[in-house]
Amino acid sequence: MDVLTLTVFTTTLMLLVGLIVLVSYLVVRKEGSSKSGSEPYLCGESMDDFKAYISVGSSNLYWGSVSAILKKFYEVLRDRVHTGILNDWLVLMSLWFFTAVIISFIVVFVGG
Amino acid sequence: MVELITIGLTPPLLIAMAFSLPIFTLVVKRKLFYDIYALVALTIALILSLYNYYLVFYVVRGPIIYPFGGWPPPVGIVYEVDTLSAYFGIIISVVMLLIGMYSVWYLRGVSGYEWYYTLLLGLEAGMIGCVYTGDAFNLFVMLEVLSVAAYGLVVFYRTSHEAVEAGIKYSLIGAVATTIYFIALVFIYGAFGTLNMADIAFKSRTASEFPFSGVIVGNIHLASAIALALSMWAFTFKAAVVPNHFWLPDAHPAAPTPISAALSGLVVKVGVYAIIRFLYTIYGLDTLQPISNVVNLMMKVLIVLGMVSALIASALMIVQTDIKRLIAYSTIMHVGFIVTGLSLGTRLGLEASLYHTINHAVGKALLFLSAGVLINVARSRNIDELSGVGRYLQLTTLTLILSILSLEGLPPLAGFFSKLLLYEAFISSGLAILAVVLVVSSAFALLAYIKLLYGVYFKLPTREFNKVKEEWVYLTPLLILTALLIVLGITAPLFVNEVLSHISEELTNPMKYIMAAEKVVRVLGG
Repeated sequence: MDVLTLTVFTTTLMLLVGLIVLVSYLVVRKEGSSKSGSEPYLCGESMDDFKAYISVGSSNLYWGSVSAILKKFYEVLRDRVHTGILNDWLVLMSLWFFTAVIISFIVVFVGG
Repeated sequence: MVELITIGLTPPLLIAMAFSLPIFTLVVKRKLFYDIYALVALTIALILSLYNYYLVFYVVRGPIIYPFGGWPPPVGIVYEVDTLSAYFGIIISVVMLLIGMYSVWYLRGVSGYEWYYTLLLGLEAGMIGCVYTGDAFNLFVMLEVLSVAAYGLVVFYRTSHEAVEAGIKYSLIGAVATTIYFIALVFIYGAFGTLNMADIAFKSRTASEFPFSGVIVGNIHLASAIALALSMWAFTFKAAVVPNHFWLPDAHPAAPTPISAALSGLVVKVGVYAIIRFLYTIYGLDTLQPISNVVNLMMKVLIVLGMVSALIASALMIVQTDIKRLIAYSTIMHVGFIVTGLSLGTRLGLEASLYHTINHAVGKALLFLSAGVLINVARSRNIDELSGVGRYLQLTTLTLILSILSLEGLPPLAGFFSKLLLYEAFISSGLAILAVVLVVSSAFALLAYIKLLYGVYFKLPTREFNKVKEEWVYLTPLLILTALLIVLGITAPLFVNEVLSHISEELTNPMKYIMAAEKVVRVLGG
């Protein structure tokens, strides 16, 4: 059995197991589970205020580790390379252009 | 020859329908008419593409040619459809039809839908023209058709400053790229005396006479080297390969969501197609020395650029807060994988890249379209402001999650199998470092996707979305795309053996492509 067929076979089995687990869960779970995210209810406090505290902002996710480990890397990548300024882009794009042309010439004149 | 008119008919018919559409605006005002008009045009294009695919793969079992006006090349322009062209034609027409269906919902209450559909049909005409043409100059023309439509669609929201700025930058550099490709054509014509792809392919391999166009007329070695360098620069712009990728993260998010799906899923793939056509059919590793050395060198450079694309784009995905910008960076990463695979110069690498091309086209279109529904409900592209909106749109979120899982490479979805093939191709080429980069960039991308899912589904809603109701108008294309991802995954062994192996065989042995053209030239040229 080749690797692709084997993977299809294995994942189909995994899917079946997953479906059995899901059906079992749906059968035994308690009624009234939350879907909307309106719980928990806290003694009349404003829900909006509460929600603002219990979730980490998506934009802050990983920022602690990113700024601790890769700060310099992102500074270069975001503030110097991906500036959104056309002239900055052209420098790098021209670099690839002239590299391609020059190495092609070298190959023809040296190899030809 | 009559039965082959479907090849020559597809792009001109779409262009005719696109140009006719504005005339109807003088008498018809109802949006429903334009919805039906566009869907009919896109359906016809799909039927023609399916028929062409059937002809190439099952009837003729080789390339088929349609000479416009019955003129032999290089005097006339020919469309030459081989397995590669037919394959890309199917991808384009299927995804475009589904994007058209989604647009019916997306354009409700939006003014300017008639211009949107005009440009959408023009975009498909340009894309199919690019992959069907057998003439290098006609490829330039079709690239322009495609680009002009794409520029117009990026600035569809012309009151948005962001869209206008992105559109101007995209069109300025795009014009430079197509001009550079035009200059490459000047060198080719000056040396080969023809712009017919099969003719150039023959002469770059034998340096001998081709029927009707005659012998070579200049230094084909120098001309080919310059042409390859210039055209690769232009095509890496179209494909958004680093460092020619800067336009994409600005242009794709600024466009209407269905157009973002078309740009990310399909338009960049036309650049990929052109790279394959130049590195395998027109030129190739079997061409005369030193042309083959230049091809070899270009492939090595593209491997490096592809891997740098994957690493940079995946790293930038992590820090995005705009959902569409995050997805746009993911496109650069996947194109990086595709370009690296096809630049290995092996059949396995080609098959893996072509498989990843279709999987990415379907998966990325699904991801953009699903995200578009969430954006439409939340009226924001900021992931923080999309908090919990997915809980109110369960089916849409399901399609969003499945598209992410496929792009990440979870079996049995299609993306897993193409990534597995890419992995195998890298290892069998003795370049284990590429496999490491594939895994590392996929891991970075996973972090970004977790952030996206956390924002739109797992995070508690910070405002009410009570009036939200899912609609079948947009769910139908989303569910069809989801089904495609699953089918493409579970039929992986069959798909690789029955479709991709034929394409890679034709690409690595281009004499079939050359001989098909030569036969037609002999008949027409006398």
